[in-house]
Amino acid sequence: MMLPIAAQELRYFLKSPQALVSFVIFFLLTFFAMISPNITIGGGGNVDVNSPYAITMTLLTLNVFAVFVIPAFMANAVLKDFDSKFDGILFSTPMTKPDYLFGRFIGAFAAMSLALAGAPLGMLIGTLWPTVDPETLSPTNISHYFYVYGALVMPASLILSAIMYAIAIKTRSLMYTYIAAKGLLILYIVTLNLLQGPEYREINALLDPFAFSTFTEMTRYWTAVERNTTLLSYEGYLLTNRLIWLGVTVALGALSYVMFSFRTAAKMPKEKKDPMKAVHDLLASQVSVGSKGTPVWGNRTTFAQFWLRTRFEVKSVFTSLPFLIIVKFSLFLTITALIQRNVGYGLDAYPVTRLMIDAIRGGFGLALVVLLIFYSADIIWRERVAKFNEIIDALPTPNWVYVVSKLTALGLVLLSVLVLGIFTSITIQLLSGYDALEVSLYLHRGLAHTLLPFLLVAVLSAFVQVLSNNRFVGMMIMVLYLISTIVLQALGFEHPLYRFASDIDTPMSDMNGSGRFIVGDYWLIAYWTFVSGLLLMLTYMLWSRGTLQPLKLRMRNLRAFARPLSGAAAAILLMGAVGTGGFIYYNTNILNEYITVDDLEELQVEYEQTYRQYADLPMPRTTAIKVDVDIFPYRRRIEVRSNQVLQNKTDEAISTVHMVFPPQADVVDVALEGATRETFDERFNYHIFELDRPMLPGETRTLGYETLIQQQGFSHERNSVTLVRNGTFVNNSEFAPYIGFWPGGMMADRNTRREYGLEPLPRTPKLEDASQYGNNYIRQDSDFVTFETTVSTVEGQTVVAPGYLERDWVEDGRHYFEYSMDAPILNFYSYLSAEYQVIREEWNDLLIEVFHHAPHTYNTGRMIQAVKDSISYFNTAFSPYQHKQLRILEFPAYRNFAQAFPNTVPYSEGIGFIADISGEGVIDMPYYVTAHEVAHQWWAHQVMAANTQGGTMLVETLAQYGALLVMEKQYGKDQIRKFLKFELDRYLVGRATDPEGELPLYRVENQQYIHYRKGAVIMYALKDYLGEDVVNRALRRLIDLRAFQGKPYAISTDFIAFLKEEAPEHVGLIEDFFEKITLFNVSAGGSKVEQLADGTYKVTIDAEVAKIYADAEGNETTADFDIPVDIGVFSKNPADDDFSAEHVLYLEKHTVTEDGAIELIVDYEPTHVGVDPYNKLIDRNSNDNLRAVDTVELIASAATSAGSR
Amino acid sequence: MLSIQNLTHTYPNGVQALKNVTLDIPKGMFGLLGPNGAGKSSLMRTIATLQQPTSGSITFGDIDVLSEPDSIRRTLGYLPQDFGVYPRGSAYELLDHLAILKGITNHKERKEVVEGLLVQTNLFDARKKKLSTYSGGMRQRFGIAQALIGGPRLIIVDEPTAGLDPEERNRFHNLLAEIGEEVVVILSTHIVDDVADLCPNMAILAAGQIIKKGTPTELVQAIKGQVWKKVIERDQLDAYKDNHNVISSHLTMGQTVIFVNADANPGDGFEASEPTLEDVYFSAIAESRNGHGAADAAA
Repeated sequence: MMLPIAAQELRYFLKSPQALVSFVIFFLLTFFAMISPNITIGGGGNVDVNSPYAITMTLLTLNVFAVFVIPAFMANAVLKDFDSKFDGILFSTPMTKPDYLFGRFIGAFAAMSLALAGAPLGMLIGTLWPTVDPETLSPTNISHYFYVYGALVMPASLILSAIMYAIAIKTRSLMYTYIAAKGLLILYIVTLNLLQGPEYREINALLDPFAFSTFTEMTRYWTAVERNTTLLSYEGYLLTNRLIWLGVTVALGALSYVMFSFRTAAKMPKEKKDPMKAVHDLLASQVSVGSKGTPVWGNRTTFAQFWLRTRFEVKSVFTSLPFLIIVKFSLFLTITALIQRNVGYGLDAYPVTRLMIDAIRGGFGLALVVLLIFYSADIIWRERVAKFNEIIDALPTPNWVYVVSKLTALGLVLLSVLVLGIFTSITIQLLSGYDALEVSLYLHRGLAHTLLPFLLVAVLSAFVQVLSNNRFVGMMIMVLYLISTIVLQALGFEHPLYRFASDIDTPMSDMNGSGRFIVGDYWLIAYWTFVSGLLLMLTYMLWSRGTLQPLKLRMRNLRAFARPLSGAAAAILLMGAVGTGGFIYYNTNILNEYITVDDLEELQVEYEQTYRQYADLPMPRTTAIKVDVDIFPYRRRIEVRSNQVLQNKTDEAISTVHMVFPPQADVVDVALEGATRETFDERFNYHIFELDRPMLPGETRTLGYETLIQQQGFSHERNSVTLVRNGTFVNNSEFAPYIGFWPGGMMADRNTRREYGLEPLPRTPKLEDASQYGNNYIRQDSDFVTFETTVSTVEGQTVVAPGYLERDWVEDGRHYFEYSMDAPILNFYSYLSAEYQVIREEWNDLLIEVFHHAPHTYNTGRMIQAVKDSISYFNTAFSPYQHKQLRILEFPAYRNFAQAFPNTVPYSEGIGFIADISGEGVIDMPYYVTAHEVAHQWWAHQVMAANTQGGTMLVETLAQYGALLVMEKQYGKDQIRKFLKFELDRYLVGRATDPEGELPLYRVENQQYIHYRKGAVIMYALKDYLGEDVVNRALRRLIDLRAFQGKPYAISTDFIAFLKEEAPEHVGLIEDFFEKITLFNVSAGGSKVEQLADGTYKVTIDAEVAKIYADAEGNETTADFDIPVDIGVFSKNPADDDFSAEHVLYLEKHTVTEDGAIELIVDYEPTHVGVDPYNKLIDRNSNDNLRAVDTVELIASAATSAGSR
Repeated sequence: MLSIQNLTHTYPNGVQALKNVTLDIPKGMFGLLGPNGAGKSSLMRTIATLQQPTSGSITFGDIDVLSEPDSIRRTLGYLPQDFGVYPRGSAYELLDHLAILKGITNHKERKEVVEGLLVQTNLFDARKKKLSTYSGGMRQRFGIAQALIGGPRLIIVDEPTAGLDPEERNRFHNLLAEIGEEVVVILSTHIVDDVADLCPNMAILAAGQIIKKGTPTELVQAIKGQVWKKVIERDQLDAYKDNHNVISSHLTMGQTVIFVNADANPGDGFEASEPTLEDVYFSAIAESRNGHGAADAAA
């Protein structure tokens, strides 16, 4: 009986709209994702777009969206009998309860599975599309799709279906089922966002019902080869996870069974004898019967009706249980988001208002969108669901009253949710002792600016519901809209004038607030408000009154536009839309150039095709720079006048000089001594000068130029974050010319190049390419230069450039500063202008200054301490500091990094200035970042690397090393261990996703995961194995050999050669660390502890060790494990917060033999043992290095005195 | 007063709900009689501005119902065939709410109207109870109360007595009878007695077409001498149907009584029967089924 019921249910659904609509949508989503070169899910780089990894990633991602679809099947399967009042007949048939319940479920689930199979099918057919780049495809293997869909996706949707089915049975309400679905989705996404730290990975992997985290966790460190060939198999986390959820599913099935009954308690309305009847009768007798009232028509009536309906709708929402659930739930999410303000390395930021607003937007944002989609449908269909629509619709109330009151109510609901979020946020600020409340910022960015776009989407949603006349179809269209907001831009449709409710990035900063970014955004909001006004008019004109009728018949109602009032309103809205749209167009397309990402790529291709032929021409180099800069922060404009000296450093005569100005710079004037400009290509700012008389080797010429950079109005993308009112931060690459063909103007991404038929561009010249030894990797048109500058800004701001302040003066309301440098620097300088507070400290003939935004005083002390500790240590360990001053300069959080210029360190407010380091045992990020940047004064500004592979190893890896040393001295080994755990993880993730493949450290091609992350881990291990003195000695020799030198610059093998000379016994290890991609796999297999007669303990550890070499794609070969490894014995878990040196019973390096057994004796009873316990080696599973002691055999008499430590 | 001209409505799936309906409805109670599925509700909805017809026109006085729906709604009272209510809210609250939407904005006046209607419909005692707890009869009375708000000049009640017990039906008839003669009241029903009890004018609608119209008396008069009845055995029914124009058959105390339509006594034991409105109705329906209806209505 069960199967026929299931089959009948399946047939029912296959004929229903939800199956077809879902199938089509899921098919199209994956199909377009596959054929669009701009969207890749899971693929990319060396990972093929139809690899098992990409298939799994795509289908699991889409499966999360299936939550929108599941209720349509599951609730319908069980509710249709009640809704159609067929339950009475059906349930009195001899059908049994399990037949009915499970039959229906099986049928609905089968139908849904067929509908969702649109996703794998769309993907598969997408791969056959001719435009898909065959280089990115693996051979088609249909079994992969079957496995992923059948074994990974369907179990997840089964779980969700069981949940929805149980909820539908319990609540007997479609709406509640949808609400529950939405709740689950929000809970899921937000939980994923909140629990991102490495410490949550395991729990996420075990509990994720979609198995999405399980998948990402199990494949986290998979290399390209594994991703292209391996399917996720049922083991480990996945197996446990699925077993847990299988249990939940079975339990829910049982629960549904128990909850469901064919017999519903009849709710017979009873007319009870009314005890107050006499009173009522008396009252009734006083009522005058007969008056039916005299309707009054006019604006007052209409307004009264509008107000009545709005109050009614708001009250209906506020008193509905789902709303209360949503609010409580969102509140929980928001509080969590407000409390977690992660700024990296496990640190939180102080609760500054802009971060709190971001958290509210993040915590409620998704909730608000989903709430909108569901509630707008709900609110619009309210009368129809209550079957009250025919009465309401025949009333003389205009359509707009219904529509506008519903939307107003929705707006008020959203508003109240946001207000609640803001109150929560302020409470949290006050509780954390932060009392610099910025109420106006809350009202502006937290409330108005957050709410307005949602209102626009609400109008769209209402319009779509009315147009489609079908709640489910309307909702699915809105889901498509949601997805379109994510992908339209990626597809090259960037213009904000046709993307509904589009916006312009409006980042916030404490220094500069919302800047001028917000102005453009408000123009867009105004434009979309006018458009929404028109949509709103269409919505209420097309509003179905009474019977749902096809659009064609309803179109007749549009003649209402002919009425004077409607006509005038429509005309005003249209004019408003055209007017604001025109102004936006003026800004995005006339004041600024409208360039899409595709346009940019085409320009890059053309630039390369036109000018790359000149790349190898001999060019003179800049040797001296004098530059005057006028900064106009309020006009977002910088004017530059410069004279620089070019010298022919080649040994041949030069007769043409090429130069490229930055794309965003207007060249007002440019003149080269003794030369005429033959070519000026405005599109690429490319200039070619013919010299009247060739420049002989050694000869110099003066280059004079005037440039202007400015941000006029606003552009649709890439609004300048450097030109702002308070916190201007520019460097010379934005206004000064590059002499010769500028390689940075070419397209770098390998896959994009292939689309345009271009050969791959080497990221970096080969290590062996001696022609590059005379070029540094920052820029190849200059070496060390002399530098002086005069710079002005508005009065009230301070502007800082590299060099020493010679004098400053005020003239005509402008503040001038003259800086000059005492030693040659790299051609790399910056200007920062802001209303700064300055903290100054003189220390050992060194002036340390922190220029900061007034309220940001939290960590300035740590920064100054880091400068002192770093310089004093580097002075002895490396070489003397070349300057007499070091300045840290805060700039707005529109960009998040710190950067080292000569004696100057611009430092974003977002990364160190507001990090809360008051917690116990936390990583002192401001200290670390400062130490890293100070180390660059040596590793970049003393020893610069050549433009070859491995260049960034000498700059970034060595700066990491410097920072690690200073941090270890200040905070001890445990802090370093914590820090390196973050770095190791980021390295392992990075290597798995590198688009061009991994390289050994000494050949790093500006790959951040290698030179920062792996570099830190390697240098710390190197120091541990070789000794700090040995490493430092090699570094000093490198400085002696290459400091302040441009011919040749240092290369990575210079350093490695010194290392090998200093530590000949470790040559193999040095090669493993630097010259190969080496992975270790060490773990503590087991341990035994035996108490000896003398009260000491014999510890036996089973050390499991392996060494693996990997190639660029991740193919692995096993090698002999030939290096010694740390063996540790502890009386406390080293991962505990209060672990300290006294708990270390033993820590020595051992050479591990074949059988891996290690025996040693300690004085106190151990609790933990470890093989490489501090994770010094690169190991993909760093959690199995430590192990609690398995068995302890105590000698009875000594048992009581043992274990006291 | 209410004039319907050539009204045709075809649903998107091709079903023709109304075929060229033309009808003039004077003031007073007008009965629209028809079997289930005849198109009564489609017609009622169309007049009540809840459905746009494919073609045709409707005017009420000088209001063009189809192009000025808001004007007709200002003077319309509509009781739909089947309606629900908001899950929350008492009869008083909802009537008050609807009164504002019907333009009664003066607070004092509205109170008077709402209380008056509650007394009139005998719901005053239960005015504070949730509507969702009302019985079917109470709900129908509430329905008529809301339709009467604002003194509409056009009142449409669609199948109001279906499912009511005789006592409630009687009570409901009294309510309708009180409405008065100065307004147009269209009562759509499949129960002949409703029309017979209440309506001075009527029409019969079958398969989307008007097949008879007039006053009940005229219509009954028209078939005088054409209705004959006979008591037969139940198993003879089919045979009689083959040989005679059987318009209806009843069971009376276990015996089957058939009525046939014929110009002269068919003999064979038939005896003359005094025609009733029910006979009119059944003979009209029977004619319509046999394909004569269209010609008749067109005449």
